[in-house]
Amino acid sequence: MLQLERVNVHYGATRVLWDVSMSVGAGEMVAVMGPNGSGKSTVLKAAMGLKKPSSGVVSLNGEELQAKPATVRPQRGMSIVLERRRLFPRMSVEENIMLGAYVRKAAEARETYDWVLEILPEIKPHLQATAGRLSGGQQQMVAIARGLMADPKILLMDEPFLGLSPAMVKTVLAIMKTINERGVAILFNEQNAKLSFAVSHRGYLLESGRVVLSGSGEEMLEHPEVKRVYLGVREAAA
Amino acid sequence: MLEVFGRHPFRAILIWALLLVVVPFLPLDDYVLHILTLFLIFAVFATGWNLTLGILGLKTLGHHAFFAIGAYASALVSHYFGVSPWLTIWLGAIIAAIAGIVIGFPILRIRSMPHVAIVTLAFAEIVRLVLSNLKEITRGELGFWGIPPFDPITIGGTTVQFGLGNAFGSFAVAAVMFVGVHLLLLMLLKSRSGLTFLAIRDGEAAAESLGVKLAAWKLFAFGVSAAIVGLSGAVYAHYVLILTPTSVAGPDMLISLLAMIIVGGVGRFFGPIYGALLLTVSSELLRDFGDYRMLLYGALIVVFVFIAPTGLAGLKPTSWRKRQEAASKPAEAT
Amino acid sequence: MSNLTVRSLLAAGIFGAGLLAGAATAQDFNVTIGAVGPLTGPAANTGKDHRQGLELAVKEWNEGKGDYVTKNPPKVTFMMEDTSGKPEVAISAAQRLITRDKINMLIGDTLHSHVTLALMELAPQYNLPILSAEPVSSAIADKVKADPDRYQLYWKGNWNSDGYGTAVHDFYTWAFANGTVDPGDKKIAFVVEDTDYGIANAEKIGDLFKADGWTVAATETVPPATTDFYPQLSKLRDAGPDVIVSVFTVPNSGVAFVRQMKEQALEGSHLAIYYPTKPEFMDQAADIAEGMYWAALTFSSELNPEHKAFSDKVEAEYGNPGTYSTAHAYCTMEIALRAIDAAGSTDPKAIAEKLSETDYDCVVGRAKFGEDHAVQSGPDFIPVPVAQIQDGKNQIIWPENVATAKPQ
Repeated sequence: MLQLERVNVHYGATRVLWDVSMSVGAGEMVAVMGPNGSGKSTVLKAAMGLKKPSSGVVSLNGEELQAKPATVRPQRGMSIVLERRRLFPRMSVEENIMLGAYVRKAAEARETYDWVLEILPEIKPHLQATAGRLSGGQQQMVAIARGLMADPKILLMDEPFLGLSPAMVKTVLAIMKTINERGVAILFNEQNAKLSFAVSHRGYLLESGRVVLSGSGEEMLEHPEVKRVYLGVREAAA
Repeated sequence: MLEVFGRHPFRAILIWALLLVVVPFLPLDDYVLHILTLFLIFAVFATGWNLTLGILGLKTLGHHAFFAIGAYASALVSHYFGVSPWLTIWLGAIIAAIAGIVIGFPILRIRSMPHVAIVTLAFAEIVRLVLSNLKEITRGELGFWGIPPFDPITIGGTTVQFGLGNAFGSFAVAAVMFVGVHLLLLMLLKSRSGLTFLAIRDGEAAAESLGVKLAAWKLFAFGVSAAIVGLSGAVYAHYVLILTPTSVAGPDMLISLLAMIIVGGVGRFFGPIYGALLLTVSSELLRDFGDYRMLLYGALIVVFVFIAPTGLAGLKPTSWRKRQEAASKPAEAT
Repeated sequence: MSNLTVRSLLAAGIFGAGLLAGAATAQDFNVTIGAVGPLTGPAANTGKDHRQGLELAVKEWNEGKGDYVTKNPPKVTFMMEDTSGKPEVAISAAQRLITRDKINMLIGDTLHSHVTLALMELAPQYNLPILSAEPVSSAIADKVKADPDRYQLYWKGNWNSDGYGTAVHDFYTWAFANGTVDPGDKKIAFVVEDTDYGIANAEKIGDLFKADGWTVAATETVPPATTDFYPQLSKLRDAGPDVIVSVFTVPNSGVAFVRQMKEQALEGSHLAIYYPTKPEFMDQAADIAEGMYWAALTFSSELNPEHKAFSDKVEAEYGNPGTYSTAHAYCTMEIALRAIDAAGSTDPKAIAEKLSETDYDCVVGRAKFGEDHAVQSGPDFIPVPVAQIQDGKNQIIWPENVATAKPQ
């Protein structure tokens, strides 16, 4: 459903993505893995429209979106959970979540809201709390809830495990699986190879802005290059 | 949201309205009514400015230009075309709103806050220079006089007069504007629009990713903010009855209004009201100290910024009742 | 609104009671006078001079050293409030004086014309005589002329802003007649600061000269504080004016202009307005400005023994010499006190009546109000003297009745 074809992105004079092509099918969970500065965050930003590609095509269900602003995507079934959560810290949890349904009708949003709270029951006790005062893990759940409020067919997640405790990483991973099982495709990025590929259907390895490897989750984990470079340094990276 | 509005914002406005209704029945002299009238006008001015400065989080430093535009537009039209000030104040607000939207366009493209500050400041300076150079129309720094006061209103045999020296009528106009503007603005901000403004302030990228059209909302905020400030300027013009470019669009106006907003609480709905009340009233109370007046006034601002770094409204984020409790931990509100 | 009725009834009652009390103790009455002026802000220095002048006049009056009209002069209470130079603050200050201190008369504004334009509205509203001190703007007089009935209690203690223009024109008419200056081709040019002050003066002088058959060869405006005049001066060289008038409020502009004009060796008579009054100008440019005419030497301790005596009196009282502003404020208070004294009561109408009859010689000149309620200027009233720099010193050369030297 989501298709990136030969996408190039520049920050000023610096080229950060080189002819990146990727795809996410309906209901798929896809990981973009790569070291720091490889451009994996930029891939998500370009897909969402938060960063305009200098060339290439970004299409969602066949519709070309690369020239359109980010604001049109939620209506077309795509939403994003930004890096470091990016909640609205001074609003309540409930207000944060409801803003996720910004482009939708109130009645529809109510339905989704119930569904979201069913998937993320941990949020329920904190609905009236000020978002900025929650723990990192709680904030990530609120951010996911907000992302789901657009009722997306595909959810982009930028570094969903960044700065979380190992226990919380497990919880978030479980939530991602649940969401995916409910039929929402997920495209996320992560530095850690094991975390990236253990749960995903397919994966891409990004180095210096280029896709150097792609395949199913298992294939990626078994690939000698991945094993040597990324799984070898896993302890240090985690 | 709680932090911005406090716990019962509509109740707070109701209390303000009741207090203002009671004021004319108290044995107050014209001097006190005049000070309260100035407070109400400046409170509306500060609230309008706070919309972009605090609630939207754009460091705009040129809103005294909209005050001047509203004031001059209303004064000039009522003077030269004989239109009732009751109508021209709205024209002043609309013209200020248009100016606000026009200046909003370049600001949309500027990401750096210091640059936003400089552009808006320069805009105010341009407005001041234009007003002082259009001498044939505005009489420049000599002062534009001949501004008609609001037309008298007759209710049940009693005629209410307005303008300088007619303390009751002038107070009433300012009070109605004060309650009206704050009530309408609160309704706007308590709706989805308010949530949108706060979302833009707290995370532009996040807001955009959720589908918030940043440009349109910012321009809307600029328009509303400038309209409110312009309206307060127009009411000021038909009260004080004399305008000079420096007195309405000069740096003194910028500094005293910013002080009100900062002392009251940037980005808090009721902050500018407290700031305007404190500074307008205290600068008059300090007259008893003669030559030390301005020294003490400056010291007062410094002291308040120290004891309430997030503003007076930050001292009581919940309600009047919980004031003591909240005052003990002001730093937490940041 | 009912409280308004109550208030007016109350006021009427108090007024009535006051009349009765006044009748009973006509021998001895007290009067409270308030003043408002810029005691803080950019004009605070001038405001301080005003306060000294006003206070000194009141002090002398209460100590039996006043210039009284009757044998039973009133006892005076005086207080002054700060305006910060802002109209709305001035109104706060005035209303405080009116309602709290129950003043019988207001002196204000002591300096700013735009503040006075607002303050004068209080005269009809509060039935209060108001006398402004130093403001000059003709707009104030225009406002009085437009509605004399409404402003019958308002009086303007200084001449109108066209005073300079009239003085400059009358001086040159005199100088042409006695051959001091050659009118040549009757061409006049202006280099003025881009402020109301500069432009209004240029327009007024231009109009008066045009009426005498002159042409205005050039009117060059420059931003305040300009110090490079070569473009303007080369234009003047082409125009070849016989009279050049320059107006700046910043002394450095004047120094630069005079120096560059000398370098360019421009011919024609040069008259400077305002900047030579500043000591900084004389310090830097006395030698290069030799022979230059300027207006207006309104206060000079060196030339005028009366001014010297006044300045010494201020120095003895306050430790600083008196200025034109101190002297003017002193005279304004004298005028007010004498009018109240003559009226014999604090009745506003009576005070205004006596103000209108004022004809009083004070240290800055003879104060007499015109039809427009403004003090008149000119050789017979408050002089606007034209000076010439001779041997590095200022000499008054016109009008002849106050001249200290002949023109060279």
